[in-house]
Amino acid sequence: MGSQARREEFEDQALVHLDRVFHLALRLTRNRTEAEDLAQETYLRAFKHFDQFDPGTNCRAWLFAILRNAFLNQQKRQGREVPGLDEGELERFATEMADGPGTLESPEEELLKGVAGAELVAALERLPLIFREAVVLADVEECSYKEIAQICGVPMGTVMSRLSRGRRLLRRALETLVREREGLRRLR
Amino acid sequence: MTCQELRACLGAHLDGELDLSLSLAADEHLAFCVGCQWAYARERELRTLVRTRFPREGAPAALGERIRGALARAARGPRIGAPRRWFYWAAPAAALVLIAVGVGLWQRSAPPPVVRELVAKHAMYSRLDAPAEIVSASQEAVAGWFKGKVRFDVAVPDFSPSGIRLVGGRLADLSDRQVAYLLYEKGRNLVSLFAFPSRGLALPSGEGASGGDERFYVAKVNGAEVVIWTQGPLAYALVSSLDRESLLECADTVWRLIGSRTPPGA
Repeated sequence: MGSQARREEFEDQALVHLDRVFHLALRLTRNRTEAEDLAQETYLRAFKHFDQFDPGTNCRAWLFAILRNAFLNQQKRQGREVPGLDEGELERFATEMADGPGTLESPEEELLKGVAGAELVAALERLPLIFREAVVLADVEECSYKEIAQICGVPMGTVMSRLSRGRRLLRRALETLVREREGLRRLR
Repeated sequence: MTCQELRACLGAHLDGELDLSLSLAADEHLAFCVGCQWAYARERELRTLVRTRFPREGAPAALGERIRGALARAARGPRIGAPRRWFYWAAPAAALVLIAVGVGLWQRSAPPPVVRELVAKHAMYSRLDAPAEIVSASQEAVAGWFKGKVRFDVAVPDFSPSGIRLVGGRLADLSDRQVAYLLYEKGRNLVSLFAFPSRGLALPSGEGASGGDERFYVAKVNGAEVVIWTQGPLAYALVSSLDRESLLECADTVWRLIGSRTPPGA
């Protein structure tokens, strides 16, 4: 394949996923400028390794995996701790969650009904990386567990437990945000 | 299936990710357990909330074009005069640095996080194709581009007497604050000039510099020379693989330019 044809083939297959790639980059970096750079880096890397892509498989998941790797490498290069991969932190969250589901009374259910999109984003951004990415991939990008396992390079069982914890953490963060908002309203 | 077992796979059941036998066992349990029915409904509610209300932002229109351009350049390979040549220069340099670090020649005392972040940004942008958002050799055009984009005046110095030419500028971030980033080049070397509000940042100072200029903090990090200083409300950082003398000369040029704009005591 000539270099022009190869590039066109790549653009046809991969560039249609740009919105999704940018969105995942935004959720991982939590910063628009960094997300744009990360999306560009993802496409350049993907193009370089395009011959390793198996045409019958899911191109979006392949791009997501490249994006995630590029992001983690960038974090390490910048001397930033990769958040959420620290065992101590995981342990702490696991303990916090030990009370399990179903501890909140039903009036809380009503609370979530008025949640706005911006509050969902704010709540999600409070989650450590590994839970945040699990929730975004499953519930926003609607990836299958198998795809998430491939993207994050972990077994299916790990996907299941991270997602389960991630959703519980998200619920807790949302409830906190909604209570803060309600508290402010009453003060006015 | 016990309540505990069901709760552990509630989300997976909802996502249709359980195998058939587990899924049947879960349904069987749910049929008679009110507590688990309630937990299931809660889980479903949150999942629906995220799926329906989470804002799925699309990429900015310009990003697609920027990536197409970068891909076209990558497909053609490095050209003379293309920003990508920085990468080919940086890679062997980075390898040398790794070796040097490995034998413990450098890095006895780690530089402050801000310095590491600046060097990482410089390295990242030197690897990017066309990293500048505004490409122009005109100081006025680049300074004008920043107006309304950052909350401070951006001075664009002229390093051309030292053979360093202006490539352009872009916005960047440093510890979550906005940074005006100017890109210059000399031969194969990218010269990065960052300007950002210094307030609240733990910046190193040049005080006590042995035999050096006390205005400037200087360091060598991952093979790149770094010069940092604070002037008025802003901090400035120059990062490059050029030699320290050249970089200090640039720093002095910026210092005089800023000094001429800010009357003493202002």
